[in-house]
Amino acid sequence: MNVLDNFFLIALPYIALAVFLVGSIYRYTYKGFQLSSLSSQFLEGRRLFYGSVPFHWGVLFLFTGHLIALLFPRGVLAWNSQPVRLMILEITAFIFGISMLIGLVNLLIRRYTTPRLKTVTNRMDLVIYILLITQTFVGLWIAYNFRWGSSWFSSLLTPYLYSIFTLQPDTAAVVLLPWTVKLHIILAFTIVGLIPFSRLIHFLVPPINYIWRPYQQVKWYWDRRKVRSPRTPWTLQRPKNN
Amino acid sequence: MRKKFLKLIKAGLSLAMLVNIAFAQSAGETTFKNTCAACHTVGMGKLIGPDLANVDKRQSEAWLIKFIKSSQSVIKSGDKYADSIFKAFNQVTMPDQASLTDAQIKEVLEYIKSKSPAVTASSSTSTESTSETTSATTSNGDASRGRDLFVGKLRFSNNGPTCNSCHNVDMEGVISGGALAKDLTQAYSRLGEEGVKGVISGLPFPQMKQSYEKSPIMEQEIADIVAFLKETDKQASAKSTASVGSTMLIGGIIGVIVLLVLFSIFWIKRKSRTVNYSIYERQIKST
Repeated sequence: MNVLDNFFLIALPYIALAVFLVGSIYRYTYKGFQLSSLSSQFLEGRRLFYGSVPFHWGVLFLFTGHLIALLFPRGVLAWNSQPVRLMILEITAFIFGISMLIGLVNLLIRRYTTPRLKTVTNRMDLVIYILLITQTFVGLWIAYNFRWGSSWFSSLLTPYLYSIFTLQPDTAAVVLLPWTVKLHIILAFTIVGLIPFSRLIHFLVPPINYIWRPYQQVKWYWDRRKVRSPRTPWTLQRPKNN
Repeated sequence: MRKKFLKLIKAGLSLAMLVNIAFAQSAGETTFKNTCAACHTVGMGKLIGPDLANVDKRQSEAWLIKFIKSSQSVIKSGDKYADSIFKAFNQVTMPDQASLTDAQIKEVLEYIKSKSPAVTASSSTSTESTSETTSATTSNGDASRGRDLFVGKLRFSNNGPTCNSCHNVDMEGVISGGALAKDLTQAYSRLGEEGVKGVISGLPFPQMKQSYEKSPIMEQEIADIVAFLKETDKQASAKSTASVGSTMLIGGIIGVIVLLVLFSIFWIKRKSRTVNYSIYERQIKST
């Protein structure tokens, strides 16, 4: 057991982080223009909305939440010191967790029931789907069964993660946590390690500047509605798309 | 000349040995105080774990080393004595002391042996040994302050996490606590006053150590919490307040529905068909 714990809680994090760093830099340097998630909105848009949107808002909220507990553990503990605020935080996080799970399941079903998508789906996509769904489910399970995760993350897991980052791994407290919590840690590092080999790489290059870049103006020099309609015979111009 | 030199060496060696012995003893003592004393005494009665006086007469050294390193594996191996102790002490798992070397454990055992009262090997298991020490000190804690500390309305003066991050207490008007660690409703009768104090101040469990090592709880705060736990133990209501889980579940489901509705409203103007839907349409019609 000890050997397993050491492998999964000390060796695996380092392997995963190293692979993530080296792999991402390699992919960015030598396989440029590949850092994307290969959008399939062009092929199927309706179901995508109810998969992608709940999933991405969920994962953004939860990722930020975990990050805040990692960076400002004392702040989180101070926030949680009022029972009402603790409940608000836990239930909100739970909501976004369910949202993420619903989104993921929707995306998985969509990908394997839409024939068009089969051509742009690879095996790694399935691996990522399964890992993410398991991870989300385990996270919800922990939130429900081992309450108040936001508090004990700050007092137990933050020191563990710091000990990993400062190269002095200390697993004394983590080893004794329930196996579901350990599974959550292990899956998290596994996913980090797979980033360079999967579509997850796109989270490193989010188009954040879309938020503040000016609108792109598209000007048309013909009556679009008329040109687009299949009933319009060609008069002056050949029909153009959009 | 040569004889003198030899003498000097001899004297030096014996001095070194003496120092070594003295040092070894104190090393055993420090290890005992740092790792064992929160739950065990030598000849002062039981705390969370049994009194260790004359423990060397109860079991062999090899057995003790094995048990100290991993008590659960000894219990699981079917050792009847280990199992009976585990049951007698409320099934509180003794943390594995895997980081101690055999030599260190031997030092501790040596220290225990030296402290053990020579003749009073009264009982084979110290389970029966009275816990008079527990009632010796009367607590001067304030239960309502202890309750505020437990729940978090009052923060610990060193900003440690609140107790209910991980622990639950069933009591009316107290928000359900965490479910990660042991339920403390009955902790007072399980461990006794000294036991509860010992756990909070001595931090024998790694998770407690991790959480409070750098932000220790002050003595008065400990007394308050002990007073609060004494009260919960007395009240120990039959009705449990463990409904927080369902609140979370229901709140979560309602929240998700609200969230999905919000998404739909916010992006109501989205293109509901694929971008190239009209292209396909046109091509199909024109053929």
